[in-house]
Amino acid sequence: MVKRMSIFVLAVLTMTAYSNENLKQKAYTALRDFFQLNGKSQGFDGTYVDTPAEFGRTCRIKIDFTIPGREYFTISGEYTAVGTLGDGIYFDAAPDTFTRVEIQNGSLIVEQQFRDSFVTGSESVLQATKHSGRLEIRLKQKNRFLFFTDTVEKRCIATL
Amino acid sequence: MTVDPKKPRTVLIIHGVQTGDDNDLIQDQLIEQLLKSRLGNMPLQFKTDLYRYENLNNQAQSKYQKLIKLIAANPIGEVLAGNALDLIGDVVTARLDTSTAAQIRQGFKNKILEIFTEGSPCYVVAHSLGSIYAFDVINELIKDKHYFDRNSRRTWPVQGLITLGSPIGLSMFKKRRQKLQSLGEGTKMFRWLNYWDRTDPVVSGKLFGQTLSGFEIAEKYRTESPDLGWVIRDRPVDTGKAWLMAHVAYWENPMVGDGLFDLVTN
Repeated sequence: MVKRMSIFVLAVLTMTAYSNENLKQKAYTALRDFFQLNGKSQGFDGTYVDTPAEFGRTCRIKIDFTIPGREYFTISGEYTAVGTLGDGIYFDAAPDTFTRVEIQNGSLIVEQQFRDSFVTGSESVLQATKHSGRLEIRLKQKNRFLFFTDTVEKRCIATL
Repeated sequence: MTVDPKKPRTVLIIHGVQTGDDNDLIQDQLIEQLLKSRLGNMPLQFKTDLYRYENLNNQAQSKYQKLIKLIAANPIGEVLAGNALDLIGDVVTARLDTSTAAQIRQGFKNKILEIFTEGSPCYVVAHSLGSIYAFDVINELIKDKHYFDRNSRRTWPVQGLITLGSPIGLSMFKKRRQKLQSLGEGTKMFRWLNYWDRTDPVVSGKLFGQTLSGFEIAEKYRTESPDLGWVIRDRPVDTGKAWLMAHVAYWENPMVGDGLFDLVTN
């Protein structure tokens, strides 16, 4: 009985680990294909729409696959600190931080969640859509810290 | 523009988000007392200065402060709120991509450069959210080719950094700050000492504290590259206080005082 249960638990754990790794890889491939990247980076300057004015007017979409294991896909604004990367998806994180990758009505959606503890963490949902000659990125960023939660939604539109 | 090592040192403090307004901030006095208490008979010339941004921040955070006042309106909330609740609330509500945050960073950078222009060696002590602003500004200065020649400390607007109760290890801050700005080839090292109390929830994001061993915060930024040029140490301290009270107890801790003493005298 114990042996069977151990095998079952091991099988579940292995499947979960494989599934997470699979999702990270899926996100990597989906983003690379969506932006048609060949191991390099791309940047698009755009304008914030339906975004709180405190974040400024201009935005920059950056997808960087230059350094293996440290790829990222972010939005930054005119007030983002020099040297910081902005909000988005980071591939230097563990596979289990990737929680959702899907194509929905032509939009690519990638979700990543970080947990520092039961009550503290952050999550990002990025939705990328290509319209005719335009790239639209919607970002929902939620930070949780003990009793507090803060959610920010940004929408950046750039010309392709 | 270079630093004159013979001039009195300046310890520049950047606070976290506090209750009250700019007039309530006395961290410069606390650090002065702490450093004097550790100096003994050593004749060290120094002064402390505080970069205040609370009034600026209050305007941007007013809706959250209203919420906190509401929470504090019941007896349990009142106990929690006394001095501490808004400290942690502002950590999560700190939107560091905003015009307010940019103003705070620019003001702090200007303050550092003002001290640099006077020629005084400057050491930064940053508490709580202030450590995120300090991190960003110091890295920005290192990136600027006018400052931080690795082999000449005289070109360094900041000589060393101490962080207290920093949330830099939390994913919301760490993930977008993947690496430190490298100082390049050379021999001189920029020192960063990060003090934390194991029960301080702002550091760990946990309700019941963090284990003392195996928990890396600032040390996550260490790399094998000799060109990085940063010496980084996480130093756990026992402030004698617990949880939110631990977060505001670093100012009187002798270990912090000794670390600061070591930083400004070596």
